[in-house]
Amino acid sequence: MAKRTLPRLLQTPAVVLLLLWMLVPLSMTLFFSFIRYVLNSFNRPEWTSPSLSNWRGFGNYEYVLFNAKDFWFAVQNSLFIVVSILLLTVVLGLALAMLVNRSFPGRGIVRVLLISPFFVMPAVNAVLWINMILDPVLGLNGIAVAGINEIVNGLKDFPVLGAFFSLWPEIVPMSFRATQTSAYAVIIMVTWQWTPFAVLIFMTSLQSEDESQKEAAILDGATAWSRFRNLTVPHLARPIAIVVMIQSIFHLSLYAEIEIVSRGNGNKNLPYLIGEFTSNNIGAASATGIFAVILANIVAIFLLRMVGKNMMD
Amino acid sequence: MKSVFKTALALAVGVATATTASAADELTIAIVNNGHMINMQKVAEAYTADTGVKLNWVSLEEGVLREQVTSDTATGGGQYDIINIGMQEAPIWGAAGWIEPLTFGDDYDVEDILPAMRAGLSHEGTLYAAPFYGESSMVMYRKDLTDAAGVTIADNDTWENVKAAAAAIHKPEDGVYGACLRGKPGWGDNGAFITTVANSFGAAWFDKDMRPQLDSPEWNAAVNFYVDLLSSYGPPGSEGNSFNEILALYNEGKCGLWIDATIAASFLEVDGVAYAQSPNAGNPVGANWLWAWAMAVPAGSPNAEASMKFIEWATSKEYVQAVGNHPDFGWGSVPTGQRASTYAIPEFQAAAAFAEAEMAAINSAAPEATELKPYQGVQFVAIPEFPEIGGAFGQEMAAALSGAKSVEEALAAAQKAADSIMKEAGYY
Amino acid sequence: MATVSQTSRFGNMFWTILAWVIALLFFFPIFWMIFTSFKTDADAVKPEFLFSFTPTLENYVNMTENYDYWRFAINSVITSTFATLLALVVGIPAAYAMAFDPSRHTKDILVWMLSTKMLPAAAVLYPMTFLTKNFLDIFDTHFLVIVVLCLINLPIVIWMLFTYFKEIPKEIIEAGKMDGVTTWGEIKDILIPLAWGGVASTALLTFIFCWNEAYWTVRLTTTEAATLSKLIEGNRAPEGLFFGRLSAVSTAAVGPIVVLGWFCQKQLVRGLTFGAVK
Repeated sequence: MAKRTLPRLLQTPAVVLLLLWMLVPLSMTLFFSFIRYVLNSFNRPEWTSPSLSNWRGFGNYEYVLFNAKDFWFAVQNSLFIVVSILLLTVVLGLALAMLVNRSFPGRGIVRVLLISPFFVMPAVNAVLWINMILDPVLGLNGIAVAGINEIVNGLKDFPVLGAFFSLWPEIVPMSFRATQTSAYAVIIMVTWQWTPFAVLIFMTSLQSEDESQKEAAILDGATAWSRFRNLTVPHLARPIAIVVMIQSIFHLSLYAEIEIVSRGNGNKNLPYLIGEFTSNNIGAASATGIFAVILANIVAIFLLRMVGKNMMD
Repeated sequence: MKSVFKTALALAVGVATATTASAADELTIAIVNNGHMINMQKVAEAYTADTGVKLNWVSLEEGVLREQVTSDTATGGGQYDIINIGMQEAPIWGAAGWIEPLTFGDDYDVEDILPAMRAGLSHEGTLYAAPFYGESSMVMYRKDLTDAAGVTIADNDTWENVKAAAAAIHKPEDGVYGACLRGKPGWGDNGAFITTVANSFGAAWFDKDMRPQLDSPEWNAAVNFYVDLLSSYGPPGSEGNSFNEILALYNEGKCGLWIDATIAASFLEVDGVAYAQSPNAGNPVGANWLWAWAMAVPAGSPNAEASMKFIEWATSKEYVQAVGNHPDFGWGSVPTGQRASTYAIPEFQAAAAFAEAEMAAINSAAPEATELKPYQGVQFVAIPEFPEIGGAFGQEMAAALSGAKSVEEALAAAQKAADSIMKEAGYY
Repeated sequence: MATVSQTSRFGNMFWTILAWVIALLFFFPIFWMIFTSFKTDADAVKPEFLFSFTPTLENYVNMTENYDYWRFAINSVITSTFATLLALVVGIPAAYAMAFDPSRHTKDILVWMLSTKMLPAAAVLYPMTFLTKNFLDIFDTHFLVIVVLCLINLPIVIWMLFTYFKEIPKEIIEAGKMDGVTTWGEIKDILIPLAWGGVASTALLTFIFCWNEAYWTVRLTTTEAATLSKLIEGNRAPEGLFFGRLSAVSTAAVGPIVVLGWFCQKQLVRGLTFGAVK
């Protein structure tokens, strides 16, 4: 038995710290979610202090689910954003990792350029993309579209070709800010930032691939596709699982990107919805928070129990 | 206890945490990151030199500032000695006892503060926040374009004329859009502008029982007009535009006319700008708003006295002189909209072509509750629930503008949201 | 390869060019940010100055004079460094014990730790603000920022280290024990040299995450412990034209960490496996 003491002792600080971190604020959130609690109220001043006498049972939950705006939309959109980012980063990450895994002139520089987005702060990422790149008039998006329109207009004056180009409509640049398409903007910017992470992981694992096995397969006359399918893909199953898991952990709680890009129109997730309630209604914010925790745990059960545990063997 | 705890913790990780200085030789001031406030940091170096009071500035984006200052003030967190708040918060926070009533010496000349500003920053006659600068809204248009098109825009013109003018100067193929208006969701963004349009159509947010009225025919007419005007003659992506985005467009020569905060006039760099008072829809209420960025002292602040002194200085006539005579700034950069005396300064009149129009716009706005509109506020409602309601409203309006919803659907959804928030808050 | 045929040489060239093009595309937004930071706010929105303009340092001067850049930068360095160290001090023993002396609960503990990372910060923002301000009185201190940054990264740290330690063959350590090596000697002479790469890349990744954290660092600070992410929050939409200003502040905020990332790129490539490599 004494043999077990030391390992336990070594784990204690980490376990205790995380337990406190999880339990203390969360139990307060849980408490607030069952009482009437607002920051300010003209009619009911008694609601402004968190006390048991304001007990409301499941009233806040009911309000968030059935009366308040956008709860289900936020849940759906959270999942849509996370799943899209996962698909894109895995596919792009795999392709790019294979691309830079060969040796070619300037590989070092290419790698450095490719992984740079991963080091950029999320808020910087968002303001950079939405203002300077995606803005439909002042950003590169708008400037490029204006340029294309100008070229097309110029071509209309040519004798024969002109007739063809005059059929072209004026292109209207796509707008991403605060509209239904702003979820795409979030997906674009987060994919830009996290594809390098996937590339890093895949690159490491491609480098560990058994070259002798591959060479043997070549000698056996296996095609490039069947080598990829039968050797590389199974080898990459674990890294893919890891990329999926780590990214889900991060992207379920996206906040800065959503706030900067959308202001909640056509694109919000649960953390953003909580933020909206926090302007006054702490009770509703807390109930939404508990829903967000439940959603996170459902995802956690799927991902961590199924993927994570196998990973530890 | 506090410092022992702090020191022990700090030592434990080997980081020296500066101990907070006691009493009033240091003030922490939260400000919105707007030009006048940023200039204040420089101008106030003289204040520090005179009084020895060190000033710590926290400058934040509007939304983040509001979030942080609200939770700090509500819970008595005591992080700030002076806070920058707007006209929406001042009366509510005063009523809730979150901020101190302000009293100033005779030299301060409270009577000089524009009456509309005083009314908007007071609760039941007591001033709770002092205006650092104020604004209304007005039409800013390119006179060269309207002249070329043979149209005119008059003071308090009808909306139909304004729309006709926008149509006449709208030339997207040349990169000029007839009308640039706010569309970005947010109660202080598209919410503010649309509410002024609605006011001029005779609509109001609530009736006298505080039941939301967004399903009224007046609202329907106002929002239909707004969506039609902006989607027909506005730039692409208008649902993402607010003050900053439109300012950039305007200075790029891409906007024919723009109805927005009077403060915009001091940023305009295009030739041939002319101003007109906001349009109305044939009733006495014009479509101009009233806003101030004001300074207040959180209740129970240990440095209340020193804070009050600083506010007295920063919102005084002397401050205006200090900016006007400052080597880095000058009369074009003085904060406006707060005091009648500012508009009487000859140097300022010479530097600011918009001065007269701005003062007229401010003076014609009435924030007080009236028969027609039984709540305080012009382009917002001074109740604690409004940010939430206005936020939902703004999102629905952006959805209507982008075409994702019809105006009727959007207004119905906004009405439903407002209704459930008011019910939740115990109004009825 | 013995013979390189004509087609595969063309193929090689194609893939090389493609790799370069994609890498440049990925880097382009960062380049554009740096490029724009040398334009005035007015020039930054003018298409005619898209590529040709008079470069200016105005934005950087403004940033250091009016926004006290260095105070934020120093706070970022302090909090990220100590949070990383603290996470390692707490995480290494835990990961060591889990890897070398696993019990039947080890996996569950690890999974639970990772699941704490999934808790949305927004759900506990208000309680955290309330607790740290009104009860503990540690709001806006370096201590608080360090502890919070450490805690949010601890699960990742432990998991990364755990997967490294597990790669170290137990036999080596057993052999050491047989030879009568002390526990300290075991750690110093056997474990550290073997685990060094893993610890270094864990530290790097943690440092990057700490530097870029922008939820808690913005919301749990006022002035004293405010980091670069708070500087960005103040500047992301100031009144008026701001592309130039914003680009300069952004460049200065992400510059240090991007450069650090470049220098340590090899270490990251080698070390970032999370147990993906068997």
